[in-house]
Amino acid sequence: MSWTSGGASIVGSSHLKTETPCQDAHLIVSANGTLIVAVSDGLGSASLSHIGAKHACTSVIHSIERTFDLQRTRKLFLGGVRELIWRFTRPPKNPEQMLNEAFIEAHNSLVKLAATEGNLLSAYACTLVVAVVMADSWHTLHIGDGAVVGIHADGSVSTLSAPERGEFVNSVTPLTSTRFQRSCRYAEGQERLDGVAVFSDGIQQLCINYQTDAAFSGFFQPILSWFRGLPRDFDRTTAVAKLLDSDQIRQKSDDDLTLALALRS
Amino acid sequence: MTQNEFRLPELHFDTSNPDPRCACVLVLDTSTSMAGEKINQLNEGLQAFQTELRSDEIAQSRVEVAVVTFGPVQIAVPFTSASVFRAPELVTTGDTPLGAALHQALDMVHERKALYRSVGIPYYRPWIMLVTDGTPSDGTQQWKSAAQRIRAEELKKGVAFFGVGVAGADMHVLSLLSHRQPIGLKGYSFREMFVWLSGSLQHVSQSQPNDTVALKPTSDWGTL
Repeated sequence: MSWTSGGASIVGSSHLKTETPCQDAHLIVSANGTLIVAVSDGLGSASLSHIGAKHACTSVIHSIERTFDLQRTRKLFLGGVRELIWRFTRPPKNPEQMLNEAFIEAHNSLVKLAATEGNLLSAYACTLVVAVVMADSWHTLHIGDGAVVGIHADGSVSTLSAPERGEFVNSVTPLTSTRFQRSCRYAEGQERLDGVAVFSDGIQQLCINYQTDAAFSGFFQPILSWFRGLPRDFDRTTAVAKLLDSDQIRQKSDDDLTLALALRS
Repeated sequence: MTQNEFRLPELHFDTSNPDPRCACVLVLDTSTSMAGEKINQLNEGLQAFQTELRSDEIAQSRVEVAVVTFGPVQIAVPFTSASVFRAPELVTTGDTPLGAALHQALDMVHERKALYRSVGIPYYRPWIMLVTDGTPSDGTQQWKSAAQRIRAEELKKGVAFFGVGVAGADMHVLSLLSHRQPIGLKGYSFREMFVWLSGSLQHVSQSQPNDTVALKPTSDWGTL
C-alpha cells in the first residue's frame, strides 16, 4: 500500500556559469496508499522564480492536503526540499476540482507573497505539474512544460501529461499569468499505476519525443530497475541526485534538472 | 550494497528529438549608394559573422541564416545552417526597394516556420536584421505595408526585428518600421555589428524556456 520515492532538483551547468540558483523545486507526499507529487520550474526570465517554484510546490500540496483532510504524522526536511508523510483520512470526491482549486490557491499565494514582499508577481513566474495517484486512479494538472510519465502494471511506461508546446521553444505560460487557468491541462485515468516519474524540462528533452510526446523507454526502464534494486535503507533522494548529476545526463542538458520518482513498494 | 558500491544505470536517450532552430534573415542594402568603403566593410563584417557563428558548436547546429539583398530584391543566400553558411561577396547594384525586400524577408520567415512545423522541428522566435543607408525607392505604400506586417508580427512576438541605419539612412522611416528603436551604425563598424549579432544569436539559441535573452549592449557599433 505504501510508496518508495525519491526526488532531486539540481542546478544546471548553465546556471552554475551565471551563478543563478537552482530554479526547480519538487515535493513528494504519500500516505495511506495515495501519492502526491509536485514539480515546479522557475522561469529563467524571472528573478525570484527559484522562490516562486518552492512556494508553488508547498502551497499546492497544502491545498490538496486540506481536501484530503489530512493529519500530519511525520515531517522531514531533506536537502532544502520538504518531504512529508501524511495520513489521509478522506479521499477527494472530485479530484479534478480539487486540483483546480489547489492551483488557484497556489497562484493566489504567489500573488500574496509578491504583494507582501513588494515585488512584481511576474518575478515569481514558474511552471507547475502535480500528479495524484490513488489506489485505482491517477489525476494530473499541469501548466507549462515538464511532464508526468506513468509506470503501468505490465511494466511499460507512457506519458500521462505532456509538456506545453508554445510556438517557440523558449516560451511557456507560467502559473503567475492572470490567465493561467486557461492554460492548465487536466488528465486522469482509472487504472492502478505502479509508479510515476514527474520531471522538469531539463529532463524532458532527453526522454519525451518532441513530435509524439511518447515516453522513451530506453531512458526510463534502466532507471526503474536501478531504483527498484537500491537497498531498502538507501537514501533515495541522494541516489536520484547522483543520477541527475552524472556525466551521461550533464552532457546532454545544461538546464536545471528535477526528477521525482515514486514506485509502489 | 553499500554507498561505496553505488552504481548508476546506463541510460539511453531519445535521439530523434531534433535541435531547435533559430532562423535569422539579413536584409542588406546593396544600392549604389553603398558602393566603395561601405560595401567593403559590410562584406568584411559578413566574413566575421561566418567565423563567429562557426566558433560556437551549439549555435552552429541551431542558427539558420538567409541573406536578402536589395535592389533589386534578391535572395543572395537561402536559409542555410550556420555550420555551412558562407558569407556572400556583395556588390552594389540598383536602387533601394526597401519595402519589397522586407516583404521578401517576412515571407521567407513565414515559410520557414511552416516548414519547421510540418517536419516537427521546435524553433525560437526568428530574427530579421535590416541594414540600409538610404531612403526607400519603391514607394511609400510598399514600405508602409511592410512596416504594418513587422509591427503585427512583433506584437504576436512572431519575429524580432532590428533596423540598422548606415550614414545617410532615413532614420525616420526606420523608426516607423518597428516598435524597436532603430540603431544608427557608428561609422562603418559592420564587423562589430555582426560580432554582436552572432553573440546574440548564440545566446538565443541556447536559451531555456522563458529566459529573457538579455541582449548585449549595442554601444560598440551603434547609437540609439
